Amino acid sequence: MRVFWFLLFALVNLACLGLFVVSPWLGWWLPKNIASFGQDVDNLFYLILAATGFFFVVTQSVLALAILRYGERPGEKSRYTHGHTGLEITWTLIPLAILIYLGFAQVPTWAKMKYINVESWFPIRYSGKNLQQDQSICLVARQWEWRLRYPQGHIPADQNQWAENGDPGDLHAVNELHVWKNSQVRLHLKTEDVIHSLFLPNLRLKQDALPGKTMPVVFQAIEANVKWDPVAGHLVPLGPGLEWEMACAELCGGQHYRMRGRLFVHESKQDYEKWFAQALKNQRLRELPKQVAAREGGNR
Amino acid sequence: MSLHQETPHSPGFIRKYIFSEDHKTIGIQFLFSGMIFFGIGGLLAMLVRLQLAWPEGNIPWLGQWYPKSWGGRMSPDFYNMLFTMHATVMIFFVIIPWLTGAFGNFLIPLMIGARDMAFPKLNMLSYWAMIPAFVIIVASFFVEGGGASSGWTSYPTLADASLQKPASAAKPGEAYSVLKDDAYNSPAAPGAGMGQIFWLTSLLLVGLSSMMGSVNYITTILNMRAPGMSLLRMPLTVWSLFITAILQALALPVLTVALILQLLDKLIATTFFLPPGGISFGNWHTVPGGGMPLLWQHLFWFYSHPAVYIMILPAMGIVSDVITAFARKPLFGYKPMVYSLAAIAALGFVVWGHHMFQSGMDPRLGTGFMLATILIAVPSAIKTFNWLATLWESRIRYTAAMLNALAFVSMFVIGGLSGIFMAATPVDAYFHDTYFIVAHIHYVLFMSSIFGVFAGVLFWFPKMFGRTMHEGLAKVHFALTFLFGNLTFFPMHILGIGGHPRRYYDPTIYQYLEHLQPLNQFMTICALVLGAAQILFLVNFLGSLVFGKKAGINPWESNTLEWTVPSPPPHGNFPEPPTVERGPYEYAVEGPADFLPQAKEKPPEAGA
Repeated sequence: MRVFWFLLFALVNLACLGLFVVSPWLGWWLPKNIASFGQDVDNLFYLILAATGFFFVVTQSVLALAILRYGERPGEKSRYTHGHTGLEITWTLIPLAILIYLGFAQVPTWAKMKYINVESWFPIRYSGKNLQQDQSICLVARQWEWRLRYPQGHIPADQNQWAENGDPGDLHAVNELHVWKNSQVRLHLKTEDVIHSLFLPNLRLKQDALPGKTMPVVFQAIEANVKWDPVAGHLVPLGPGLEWEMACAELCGGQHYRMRGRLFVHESKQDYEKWFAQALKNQRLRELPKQVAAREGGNR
Repeated sequence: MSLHQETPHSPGFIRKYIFSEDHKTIGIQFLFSGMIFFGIGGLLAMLVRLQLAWPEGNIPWLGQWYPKSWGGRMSPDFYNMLFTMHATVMIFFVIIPWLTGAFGNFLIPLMIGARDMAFPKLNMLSYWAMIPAFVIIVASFFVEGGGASSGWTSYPTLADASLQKPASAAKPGEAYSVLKDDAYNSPAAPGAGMGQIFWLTSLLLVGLSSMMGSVNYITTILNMRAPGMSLLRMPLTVWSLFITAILQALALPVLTVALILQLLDKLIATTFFLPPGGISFGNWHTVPGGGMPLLWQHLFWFYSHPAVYIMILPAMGIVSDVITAFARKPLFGYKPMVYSLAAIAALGFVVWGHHMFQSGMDPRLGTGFMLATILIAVPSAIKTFNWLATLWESRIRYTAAMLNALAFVSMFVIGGLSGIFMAATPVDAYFHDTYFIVAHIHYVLFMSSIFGVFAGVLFWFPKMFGRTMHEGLAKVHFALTFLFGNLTFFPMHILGIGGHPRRYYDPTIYQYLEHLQPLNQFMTICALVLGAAQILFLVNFLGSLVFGKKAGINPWESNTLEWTVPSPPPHGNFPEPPTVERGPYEYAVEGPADFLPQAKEKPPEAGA
């Protein structure tokens, strides 16, 4: 039976390891990265994967070998020992050093994602003032959709005031997030009802929307998936399989799973502006009958 | 010897088995009720898995049981209720009661050489506070709107919004009040109404029970150890239960406060977790609040992160004792093992923020929490290396209990390592609330803690009931659980890497998740086998109560004090108070036997 138990432990763990090896080949892996900081995040993931993978192999091998080698034998006793101080110190200090390295290796990327300017090796200095910005978008989550507001001119004069109250000239959209390639986007993320969480897998981005708060979310998409077709007057995809989705990651009620949105990264700012103009025109056309009706209702 | 021939204490049936003050009976009560809830929680998990594998399909025969309005398919709100109650039941009604309630009660007095707990009546109350909690949580499935469905974390404002007068209905200057007719319904979700109120009440009672237990464990361990049982001679099981009790005593009040605040929010429309501007659901507007939803998360995780250690530390202690007994070797590095337990517990209090990296907490604070969290891997690594070193050059007896303990070590490595991904803030931005965390928590709580429980039950069953469990059946159960447990939970890592969010009723509507669906189906099939395999354990457990081989005083040739008294031990445990002479792990010693029990050998009685 000793050999059987060895095989069970060894093979199951080998299968676990094997799954991590074959999954990337089967496409069961990280979705395509399109964020400026995404490669850094992925690299950190691989760094941790390498470190944990190493310890996984070492510990599971030792365990499996012990199961194989040290079965009970008549007349033999285990080695009598209560420990070894040198060993204890070794296997405390080595993981400690590796883990401290892993910890501090995260800091620059985290700062980048959260738009903190790191001014020292330990990120206690914080400054979000001089961040570059090309675009402001207000994103309001509610049960169960994403409502978006795009300002004319991309950046309103008073961002906080605009995020709070909006502007009559804003373009409204539902579940469609439009930005252009390499644009530094700042989302003003809000919620009307419960906590939602904006999740853009391709942007390696997640941020909860908290009732009563406006959360800043900053990103830059470095790859486009749509372009403006001037002849047809609408957006066309740049290729098959370039559908980038937006999801809710925090349980928000019954239809939580249906808060599916889509991310459109336009090829250029010009494309975006053409789309914006067209969409705004459509919006006014839709609103016109309502406004007329309202005015007539008022006169009566 | 007239001193020892007092009339034996023989209470009637009700005092002996129901309103018992005997720590052993109370421990066994916790063990049995935990088993019932393990079954309930397991069935809930099976339903969750069925939905995930075939989100659009009508499950044969199951569909007939659903209300007609669902159209033969599970409703999304029902699905949310399933995973909420699965987690609640498994955490608060299975793992914590098993580890601290069952093992804590049964083992502490026996292993330290005490007659009973310090406060037997309080001990009885700690179990009887659980009974209303059981009733309320089971009843919550049947109230209007169904059981709680806001996740076991019950984040406001999903969980605590209550239906109030719309702002337009209030006259100027009039205080807002809760509407009378449907006051307790929630605009956020059906399960966030009465179901949530029941959930909160039930958990308050569970907390009360745990608090009474903790006070008792701490007092007993500090005051009632047998002569010679110094702190550093205590078996690791007792150490782990001691540290767990301290954790619980310090963390539980915070959860209790949080539960009371949310209960007040729901019952009398206080606004502890409602933001200043209030919130709105379509045409419904709540009153203006003055609170903060994030407050709940801080309070909740200040308890619930230590709670994760409450759910693993006792299993670590149990496994240390089982491994040494069957490896026939002293524990490698006793003191480092004790200190690392304490270090995990201490660090456990300063890492709660790692559940909130993406919550809107200040990102700089996140960095601090990240570094503290990553440091917990150090004591965890120390423990793992010491277990491995204990096994090295040992002589292993491959009993079912030992195999479960070995599985704990193997699986804890996976659960521990996967935690580092989520501890790292930038990587967590991606992995937070995906299946990666579901994999992690199941490797820690199911594949580790529950293997620890199985090891403990198999190991101490003879002491509890005077019989041994069937080895062959236990080994088959172990092999199936180990194999199908891994097949069920390991692919969850891959789902997480693919970006599969947790708590999704139907992931297939997302294009980027569609290709992962075969994995989901594979995992569900494995989960069903895993669930079915647990029936073997139940059959073995119940069957062995009646048909099990009779066990002697010390069937495993173990050293600790409980193995010096009859199986099962009499009321009062020790006919004569034991004196302890040495540490608990003296195996592989010189002489004819390879073990040296802790207790001083009694001189042979004259005339015996």
